Amino acid sequence: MRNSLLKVAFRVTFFSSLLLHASTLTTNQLRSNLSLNNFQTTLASLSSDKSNEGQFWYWLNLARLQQANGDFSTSIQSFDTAYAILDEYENRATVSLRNIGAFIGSSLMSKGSETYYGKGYERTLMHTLNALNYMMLNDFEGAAVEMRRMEQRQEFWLKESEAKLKEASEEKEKARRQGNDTSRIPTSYSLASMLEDEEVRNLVNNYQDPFSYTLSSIIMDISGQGAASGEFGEVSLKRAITLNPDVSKVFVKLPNSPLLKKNKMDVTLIVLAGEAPALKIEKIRFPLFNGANYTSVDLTSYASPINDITTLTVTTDQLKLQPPRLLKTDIMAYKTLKDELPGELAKSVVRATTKAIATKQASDHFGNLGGLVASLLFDVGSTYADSGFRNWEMMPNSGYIAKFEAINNSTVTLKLNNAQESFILPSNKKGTIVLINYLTPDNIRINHVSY
Amino acid sequence: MKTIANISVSITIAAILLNGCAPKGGAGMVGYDSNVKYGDAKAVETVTADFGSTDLQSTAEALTQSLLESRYIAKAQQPPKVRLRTVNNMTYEHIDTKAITDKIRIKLLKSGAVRFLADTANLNQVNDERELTASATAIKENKAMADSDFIITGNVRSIKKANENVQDVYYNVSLELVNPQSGEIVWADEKEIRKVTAKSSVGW
Repeated sequence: MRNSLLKVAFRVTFFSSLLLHASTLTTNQLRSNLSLNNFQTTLASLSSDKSNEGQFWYWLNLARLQQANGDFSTSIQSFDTAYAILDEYENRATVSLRNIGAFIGSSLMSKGSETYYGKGYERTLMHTLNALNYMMLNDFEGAAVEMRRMEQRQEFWLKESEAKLKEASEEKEKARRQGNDTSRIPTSYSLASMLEDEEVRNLVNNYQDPFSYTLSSIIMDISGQGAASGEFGEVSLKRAITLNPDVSKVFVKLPNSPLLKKNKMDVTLIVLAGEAPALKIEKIRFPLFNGANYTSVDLTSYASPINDITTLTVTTDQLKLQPPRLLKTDIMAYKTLKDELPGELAKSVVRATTKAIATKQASDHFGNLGGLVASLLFDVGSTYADSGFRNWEMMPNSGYIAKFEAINNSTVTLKLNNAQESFILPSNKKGTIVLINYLTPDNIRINHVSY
Repeated sequence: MKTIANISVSITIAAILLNGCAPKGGAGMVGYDSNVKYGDAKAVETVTADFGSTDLQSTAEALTQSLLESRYIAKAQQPPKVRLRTVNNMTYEHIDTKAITDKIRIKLLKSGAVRFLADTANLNQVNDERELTASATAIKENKAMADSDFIITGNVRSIKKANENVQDVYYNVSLELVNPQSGEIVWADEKEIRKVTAKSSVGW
């Protein structure tokens, strides 16, 4: 009886949220339509869908697909719009009515009442990926600006994280006063074991990644700003190595030979693969009182990353390389979640208790049916709000960098999982940058620029 | 009575017709009803804390004046040949540094104190200039085009600091006049700009 009641409730909430969001390209629609046949239609639908143009995540998703399509200038514009949204949020009044409203909504109603302004790693990587746009337009000075911004952006995130920690301890105390224990993660929470993964636990922090810092050092080198910037490039490289010692494997030189010297060129290969974990709100429903009513603990969670690669091999006539995976978006997302979960859990329990009290009152006044209606109303309301709570779903899940020497006009072959791609290097150039976007196994896009 | 009424109707119709035919805003104006207005190009602009038109103008003004007063320009027997190289953007913004160099070039040219050589875009090292001169020596007709007395290079830097209530941005625009043959820096100056924005205490 209880189970069937919960099933009915779940179906009602699911279809209600589906109807309310019918016009928007959903997370699943976006994620499942990236193959070669559907990509252009998906990009066109996303570009023309203006229903979420006030959302940070919308512009990031659009910017990423535009980048993968080789529309680097329009991608820059989309990233700029995302920056403007985040800048407005970061520069709000000390006492902002919107922030207070979102706080009250998320404390009483649902996590989805908040507007998503990205996590530390997303705010960092939006600048890194935009730097790639500038690189592909041969504007290395512009790329260097983005890498400096990447560093700068982290300052606000640190302040925000500190505020969140303080808020979390207050919520924890509030939950404790209500007689709830929030120190244990619910066993039915789908990511419970993932958060204890060794790689997640060993991550230095949740916002700095070796991919961005390695790229930063390469950009400073190519732009010629290395010395003038106070060795910013060298500092970036040291930081990258601290974050992941495998960064030292990124740079490979050919043996010194007079024969090769004249024909050598630098190749910077950047591979962005797969799509990041997609944010979702996980509801853990449990019955109340006589079983006729229910409430739920809603926790931030993620749908697994998709279309990622596990092996990458780069072959030239002289070299065979296996570049290290430097960007691990999934691990950073889980690390952020792990860091924020104590606070989220406390907040969620306070929300569930508030709803349970209201449901009880409805039940006392209007009988079981009144209680059930209250439960359903809370559920539908929060499910609707939660369905619009999305992250940068189109962010690549993995990033690889290889910087190596090769011979002009020679062939480079890549093996990405089972897919193989080859291209011929240009001649009479100092270097070339090759950007490979692996969106799905059948949709691999390669762009290059020479300098 | 009827005549008066007819006259009134005729005047009204004529007024409507004339109003309809006349160009809005009078002769020579288009889009009179739009929200576009001309502003003073020299007015102080404080829309955001980013590097803006006022910064561009004040930088060009200050550095050009300083350069013209330097003895290598002011006391030269004849106007030296100068080439403007890239001014590096080392800030947190996408500043079009060419706008700074263009403005400086125009001001210097108007002064008549220097002669400018065509840009060799994207070469920003003094050594490049030396190599260019050396290679051009072999080709007589190109020598005049390549042989500059001085080159101008520079950097735009910024430092951003913020706390909960205030954001402080400091810009430093520096220029150098370099003798490409010797690599000697014969003049250098800078223009500093500080912009502070305060967050409102209470707001939407």
